[in-house]
Amino acid sequence: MAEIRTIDIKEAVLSENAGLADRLRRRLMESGTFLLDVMSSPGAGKTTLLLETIHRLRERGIRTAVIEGDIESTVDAEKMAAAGVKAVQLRTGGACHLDAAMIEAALHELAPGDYDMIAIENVGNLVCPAEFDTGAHRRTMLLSVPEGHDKALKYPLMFTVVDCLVVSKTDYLPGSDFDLAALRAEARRLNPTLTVFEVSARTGDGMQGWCDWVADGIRGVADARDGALDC
Amino acid sequence: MHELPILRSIVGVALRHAVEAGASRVLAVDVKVGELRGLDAAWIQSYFDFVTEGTPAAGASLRLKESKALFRCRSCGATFPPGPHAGGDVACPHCSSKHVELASGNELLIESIDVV
Repeated sequence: MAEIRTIDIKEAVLSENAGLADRLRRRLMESGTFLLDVMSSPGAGKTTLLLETIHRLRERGIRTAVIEGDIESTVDAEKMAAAGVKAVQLRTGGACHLDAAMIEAALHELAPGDYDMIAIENVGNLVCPAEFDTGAHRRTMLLSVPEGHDKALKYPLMFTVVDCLVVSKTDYLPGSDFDLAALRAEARRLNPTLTVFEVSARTGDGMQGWCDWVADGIRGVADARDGALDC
Repeated sequence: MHELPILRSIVGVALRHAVEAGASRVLAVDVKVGELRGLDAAWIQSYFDFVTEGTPAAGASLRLKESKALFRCRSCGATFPPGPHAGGDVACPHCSSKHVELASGNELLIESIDVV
C-alpha cells in the first residue's frame, strides 16, 4: 500500500485567469488604454450610465469603446451603436460573468491604441463577476436606489473587490426609504477605501464627480505609459 | 453557476501538482475559503464530485476551511473583526486610525493535497 503524502500547494484558485488578467492590464497600460469594469444587477442602469458618461467624456476629448457582456441578445450593443459608440458584443451563452479570456478575445475586435478608455459592461449579476478579474484597471459597481440599501450584506464579495460604488437612479430617492448613510457604513465596513458616488444619469446629478473619477483613471494609465516610455 | 469554473480550477491545480509529484491518485484537497466568498459547501462538494469524475481525483474528499473576515490596521498592525459601526468609516479599535485594510475573509486558496 503506497504511503499517503501531503503536498503543500498554496495556490490561489482561478490563478490562470488572474495571470491572464495581469497580462491584459499591462498590455493596455502600454497602449495607454484605461480598462474599466462596470458591474451591477440587471436593470441597475449600467447602459444608461455608460452612455451618459461616454457622452460627457467625449466633450473632454476622451475616446471610448465598450465591451458588452450579455447572456443573450445584442440589445445593449445596438443602443451603443445607435449613439455612435464602438461596441463589441460578447454573448456568454449562459455563463453568468465575463473572464479575462473573453476580454482578450473582444480586444481582438478593437485597436486599443485608438481608445483612451474601454468600458466593460459586465453581465448583470452581483455574485459571479466579482470572482473573475477581467484585467480592468479599475472596477466599479452600481447599486440603484430601487434595489434597496441592504445589498452589501447580501453580496459582500462584490463590495470588497470594487474600487468604486455608484449609487444610481438617485432621482428615485424622494419618497423612498433608501438609507444612503446605512449603505455607506455597510459598504465601508467591507471596503474601507471604497469611493462612493451618488448619481442620476437621467437628471445629471452627481455625474460630474463620477466622470472626474473615471477621467482620473484614464490619466493614471496615460501617465504610467508615458513614464514607462521615459525610462 | 460561477461555482463550476471555480471547481474546474481547483481540480485542475490539484491534478497538475499530483502529476508533478508522480502520484497516481488524489485522496483529498484542502481549500481555504473566505467567508465573504459566499460559497455554499454542499453545492461545492457536488460540483467537485461532478468535475473529478473519471480523473485521478475521483472520490477524493474536498475539505473546506473557512477563514473569517478580519481587518488590519495599517498604523498599529492590530487585527480586528468587522463589527457594527455607527459612523461611515471603519476605525481601528486600538488606535482609532482609519487606515485599515481587509486582512482576511476573501481568500480562495488551495492549501494542500493528499496523494498516493
